[in-house]
Amino acid sequence: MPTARTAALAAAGTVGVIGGSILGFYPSAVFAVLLVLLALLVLVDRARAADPRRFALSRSGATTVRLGESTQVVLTVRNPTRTAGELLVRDAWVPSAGASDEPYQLRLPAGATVQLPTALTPTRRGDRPAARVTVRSRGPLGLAVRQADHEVPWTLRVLPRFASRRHLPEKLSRLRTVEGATAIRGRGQGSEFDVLREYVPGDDVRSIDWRATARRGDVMLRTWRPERSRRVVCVLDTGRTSAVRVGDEPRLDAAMEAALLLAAVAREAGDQVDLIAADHRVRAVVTAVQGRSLLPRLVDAVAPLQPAMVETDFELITSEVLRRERKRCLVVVFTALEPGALGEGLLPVLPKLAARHRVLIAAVHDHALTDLAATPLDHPGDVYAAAAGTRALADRERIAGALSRNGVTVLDFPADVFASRVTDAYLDLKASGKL
Amino acid sequence: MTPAKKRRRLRLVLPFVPVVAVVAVALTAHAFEQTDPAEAGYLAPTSPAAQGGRDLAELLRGRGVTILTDTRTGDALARMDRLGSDVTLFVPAPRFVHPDYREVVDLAPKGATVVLVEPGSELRDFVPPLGVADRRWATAVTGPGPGCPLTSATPAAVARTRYLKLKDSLNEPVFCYEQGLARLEYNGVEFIAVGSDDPFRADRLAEHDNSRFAADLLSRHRTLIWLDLHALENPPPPGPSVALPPPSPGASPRPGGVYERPNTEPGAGSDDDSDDSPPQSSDRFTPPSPFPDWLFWTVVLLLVAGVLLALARGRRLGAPVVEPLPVEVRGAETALGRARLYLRARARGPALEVLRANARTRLAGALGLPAAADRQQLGAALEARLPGRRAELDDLLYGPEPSSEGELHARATELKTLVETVTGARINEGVHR
Repeated sequence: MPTARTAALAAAGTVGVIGGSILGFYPSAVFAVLLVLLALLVLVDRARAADPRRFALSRSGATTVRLGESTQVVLTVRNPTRTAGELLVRDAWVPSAGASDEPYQLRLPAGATVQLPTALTPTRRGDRPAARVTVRSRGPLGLAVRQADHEVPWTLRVLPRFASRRHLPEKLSRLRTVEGATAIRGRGQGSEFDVLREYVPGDDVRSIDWRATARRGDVMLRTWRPERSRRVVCVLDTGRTSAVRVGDEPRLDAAMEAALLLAAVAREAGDQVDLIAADHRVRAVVTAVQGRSLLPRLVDAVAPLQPAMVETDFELITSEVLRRERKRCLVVVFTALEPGALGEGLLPVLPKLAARHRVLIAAVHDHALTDLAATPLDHPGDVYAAAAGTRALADRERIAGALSRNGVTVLDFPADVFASRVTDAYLDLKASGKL
Repeated sequence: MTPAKKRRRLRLVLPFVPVVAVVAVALTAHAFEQTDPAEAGYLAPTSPAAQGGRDLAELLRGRGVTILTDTRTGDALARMDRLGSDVTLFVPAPRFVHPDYREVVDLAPKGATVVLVEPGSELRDFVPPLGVADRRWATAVTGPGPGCPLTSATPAAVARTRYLKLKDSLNEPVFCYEQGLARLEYNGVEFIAVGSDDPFRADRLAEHDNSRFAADLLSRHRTLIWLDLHALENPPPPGPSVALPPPSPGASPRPGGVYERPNTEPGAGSDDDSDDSPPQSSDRFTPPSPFPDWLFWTVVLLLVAGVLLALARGRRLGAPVVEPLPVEVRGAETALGRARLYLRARARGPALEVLRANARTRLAGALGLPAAADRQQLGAALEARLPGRRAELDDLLYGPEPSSEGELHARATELKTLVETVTGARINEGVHR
């Protein structure tokens, strides 16, 4: 391939044609000679350029990064040829990987190796693959270039932002309050037996353990604590309703934030957390993971999830939960209060689920609906918008009512407080010993 | 190749397929319909083929014209010389007349007629003052134009090649059929150039007024010499170029010889030097170019430079990267769609009923009534809160459908005010469960 310099040289050749004509040469002959000369130069230059196909490329560096943070993946280029390469290297990633698209310009001596760091600031969650590396090698005269594409696969997994981490200290302190307060207030704050201690005035007399009192000769009080080693199942609905953009992000992302915060708190509380993500088929399952590795596993599992444009199969979800969880547990379904999706999908199978488990439906509230219902009635046409919004809200109320009648708690909060409120609901249940 | 790439390639190619097909069919059909003077039957006086001339010959005989056939121009010219002026020379394939003969056809007896069928650039060899203006893709059927002296025919398929006057001559040329037919008396001989062979072909003779046109042109004299050529004829035999005196009765012409006669055309005589020079160059004068000779090659070189620059700049450093984007749906899309449906259907009744139902629920809640409170209960409770407005409020909450947009708007505003008054809160603001 020619370069701009080749074109400039050709343009400069016009001086030769004019000059030759003045000196008495045929312009056509001068033209032909110049063209042949130029072609020869280009061919010679091309032959002397380092062969870009033979370059050896490899990658190293980060494989995961949290959304919103930057990382680096290093591209190593080795020149195995006997010619020094005047190179232009473009390390292309998918646009959402946030790689700088500026090519590297470098001179690589024969046999030398260079490391090119590519800074990545992903703009979207999920797996962000590297597309290809294009190497362009220029001849020593700069009149011809050779170019080759190399596939150097690398995938960067972009984890959810987990911005709800900021609520974690507060929730943990509340958890400690719940756990600690029960020791003082005694009965009612849990159902699991904790310890026996001496009675102090002010304690609930109903908690006195008469048998122990008789044994010790002192009034003993039975203390309770919230249940430990309970099970929490987070169900992420990745169907069509999860694609709805609420605020700045899809509903699915808000649900993820909430599920992660809930899992972090529940793990601290000593509960077992499982996760199922499904639409018309199961997308991700995390189960039977204990201790510290839980959160990384969860984050890794939800990172590549994307909303699918299908109706969620709640029957599949129900059977999946019933199959996996034999003991009674808390099932938190992260979905949307959509009359169609829930009324026809979830309601028929809900009794089965609610009979075995305690079910919490957590839905991100769409502020756009409230805004629509509260449309200022400035023009006659606004009435229709207000009516449509009001009707949508009423439909949600109705579906929420139907769900509640099945013994299900419905949480409907806007995205900004969603994660916090869902965890609060869990803590409330824990505090009241209803898990 | 991935399916997506294949699809993209198909998308690029498909629109051109019908175009290419149409062009190919048109070209094939045109080539098929095109006559070829090199074929043996082409406008031959005895050929019964579709392109043959037997029908035309019959037609002319019917008009009392004697038809004589010659297969060499030399013979034909000699015969013309013998027969005198009352003769027509019909040349169906002027380009097969040897260039040496073309120059001397005008030496035929004065008053004779030469009919050339669709002459191209060779027309200048026959009649220097005439030239080809343009050539159409297909023959146009046109009227003869006002006062055409050559034929009484009505519209005929004549105009494919059109002719024009190149330079002045003693006589002004006559053009008919939108310049598809040109007539010029040159050196005393009447030359007629016909822009298409359609009127003479057997298969087109019956179309339009072709037959009358052909017959009119060719029956101007009692004798017709039909020059039947199907390949470029041999050059005239070499021999001294003898300048013959104007043929007189009794003078024996030399068959196959070359005749020369002093040119009586003033246009031709004015440039005497051209008479001495070889005839080929006499009418190929090119004026000196106003541009220097290096200009063309400089421009070509600049174009080459431009192409090189385009190639250099156009080469991408790797193809653009594609990425499937996740689906995102705008919030409240269904509700907004429903709002537009209400608006389009002017669904005043349902829209107001939705607002009324919502207001009733809220009022019942604010007044401490069960959600399923009936009309009487709600009316009574409202009467207690807002005395004296019972009938009005009842109409507002349970009244008939509004009959106009304005009424709907007024009702909706009143409902909103009522709910806000009773509940003491702005409607639908920050209400989350």
